[in-house]
Amino acid sequence: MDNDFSRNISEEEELVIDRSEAQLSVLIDDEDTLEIAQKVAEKEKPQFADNNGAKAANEDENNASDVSNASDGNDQPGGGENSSDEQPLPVHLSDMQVMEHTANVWQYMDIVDNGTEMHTEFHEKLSEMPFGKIIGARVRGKAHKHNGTNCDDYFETAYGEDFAAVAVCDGAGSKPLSRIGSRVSAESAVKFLKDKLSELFKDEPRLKDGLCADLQSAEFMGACGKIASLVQQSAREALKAQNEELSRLESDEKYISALGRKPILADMSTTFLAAVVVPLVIGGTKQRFMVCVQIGDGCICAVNSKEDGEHSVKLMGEADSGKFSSETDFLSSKNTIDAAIAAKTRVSRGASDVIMLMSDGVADDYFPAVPMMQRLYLDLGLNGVINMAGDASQAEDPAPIRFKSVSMSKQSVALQYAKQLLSDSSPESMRALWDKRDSLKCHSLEAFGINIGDTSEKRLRIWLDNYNERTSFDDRTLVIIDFSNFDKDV
Amino acid sequence: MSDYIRRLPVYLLLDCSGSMAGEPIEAVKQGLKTLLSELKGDPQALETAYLSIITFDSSARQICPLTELMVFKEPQLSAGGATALGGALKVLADCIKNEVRTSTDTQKGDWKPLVFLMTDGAPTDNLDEGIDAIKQVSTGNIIACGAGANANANALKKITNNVLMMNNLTAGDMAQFFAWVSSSIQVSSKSIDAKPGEAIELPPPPQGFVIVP
Repeated sequence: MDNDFSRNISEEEELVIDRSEAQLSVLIDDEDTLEIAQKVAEKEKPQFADNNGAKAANEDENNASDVSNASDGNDQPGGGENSSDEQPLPVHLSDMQVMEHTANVWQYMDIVDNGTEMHTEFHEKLSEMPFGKIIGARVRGKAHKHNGTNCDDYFETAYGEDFAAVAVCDGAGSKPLSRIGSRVSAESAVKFLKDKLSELFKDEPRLKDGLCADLQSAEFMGACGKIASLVQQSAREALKAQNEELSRLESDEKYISALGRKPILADMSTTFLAAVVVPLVIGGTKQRFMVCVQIGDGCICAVNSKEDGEHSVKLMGEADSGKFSSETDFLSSKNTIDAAIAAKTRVSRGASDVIMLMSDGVADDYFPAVPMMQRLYLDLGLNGVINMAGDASQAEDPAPIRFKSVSMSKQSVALQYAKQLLSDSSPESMRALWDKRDSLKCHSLEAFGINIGDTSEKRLRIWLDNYNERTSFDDRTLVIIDFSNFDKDV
Repeated sequence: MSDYIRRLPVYLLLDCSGSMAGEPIEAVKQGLKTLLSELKGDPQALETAYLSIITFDSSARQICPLTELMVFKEPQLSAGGATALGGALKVLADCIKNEVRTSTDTQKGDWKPLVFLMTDGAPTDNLDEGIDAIKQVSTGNIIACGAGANANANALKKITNNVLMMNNLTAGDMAQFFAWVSSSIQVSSKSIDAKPGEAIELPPPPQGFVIVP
């Protein structure tokens, strides 16, 4: 990988390009030169600023030994019921103790059918591509399970010989038909991308050469612009599909009676995250070219497991960005105009081996995304969703954790948490754990002889449906484009 | 497992002046009991909401620091003295400053605190000083409830736009008020779409309560 760093950084200072032709303003950041991405980001806001000074202090230090004692501690809250004349002593419960308790309070309710479209409880999908695989799953959040309401998230994936296309949409919890908005948006965007990209690669056999060309070259810019404008157009296609769906529902008595009025477009509000990834071979090294559009919250990120430190995580979007920030919450005609969507488009080329798109139900549990997406990567490895390097022949504590199930199967599932291996929530602690990433397999479910599912997509779904984080009640969707098994030989 | 979670801080400011003696203070105690038992049955509230109680009579004090619902102990309440509402707001401002976490690059801050104020009389101290103090801190919704004939709606209106008037100081009305506080907290802790700092839409107040425009 040494030669990756030999690229002259200074010649790539000009990163923001305005393409009048495709009307893009695309932020290019090559993975080799993340420093530059930082410089650009710092111009807007210092979100990549060194966090050394802001080390979070921990009130309730809850290390691995606390976790193993959590069931003993579970009795403690009961003591709080005794009223006392004295000033109450501040009692600190660990998050673990609170979750042990609430696991018994959460209920699982079937979705109430009011005649409108219902979403399935969960969905999982695997695509084995010639150059990698796409593993995706979504699950209904605990808040929806408790209240008997629908999952509002949706995702769709597709691939061709030369590309993978993914969309993840998170319908607004407060909008009655947002699950329909998220479904038609994801489906229509991915269908559009699949059709148009297949055509494009067929019509232009030299497109891939362009994507492999020097980042500053007109050849690269031309090829990049063609794909980027398709990804941007897919957002408009999604909005068009919402409007078409609306015109069907408007006259549907079931919807009018469920809502007590005629449905409107805002009833289908959804976030929109889309990515197109093209596998490349540049100078004997496998790389990926990717274009992402993110409207609203959630996270798109690329992880390079061969890279140390925070440079291993690259964010491919922002929850709200630039001057249109007040309008970025949900896909709309305002934030799909050229200037607005250009600010939400990210282009990257590099050697990241895992690319992930997720709704905020997952992203919020890994905050701040840099560096905590490393923890997500490790959680996926520890729970057998993606590969993990190392030796699983000897299990090492801390043991996986099991909570009472709040799922349809009612089956309690033991899961491993990379959090258990962190001494605290500081970036330094995460950095230290990331440095040991190739020797953590002794903590994996596999090392403990636990198998939560037969296939990777099922393991992803079961992990999503059962991992427990305090105040994490939202629907969870995660789509992983995994190249790690395909990088070994060129 | 030692992250900071994003908490919903809830402050109850309760009038314990002499005029609350007897049935009213007993009704407040009963209301608090019901509130706690309802919240303790709601997993979202249990994971999210933290509760604090500030009482005021001739002076004001925080009798329960911001506490995890699961371990929250009902405080001992007794009535007597004047109505130091201005002082209560100053105590509130101090508590918010000390207890509510703000967002940083590495940490998600708490949600903006939800404040419920219940009083049956007019302030007897310097209210403006208290109002100045809470202007210095970031609060979410502040809901003031004037209870009974002697409550001063104009004074409450200076504190917040959300003022409710409860005509009587009966146990039934007080129970309704606390039931509404409970559902407001539950709605707030469920607003998974709302961003911290955004105003949260609260449920409509109980019947018989007048919203002061």
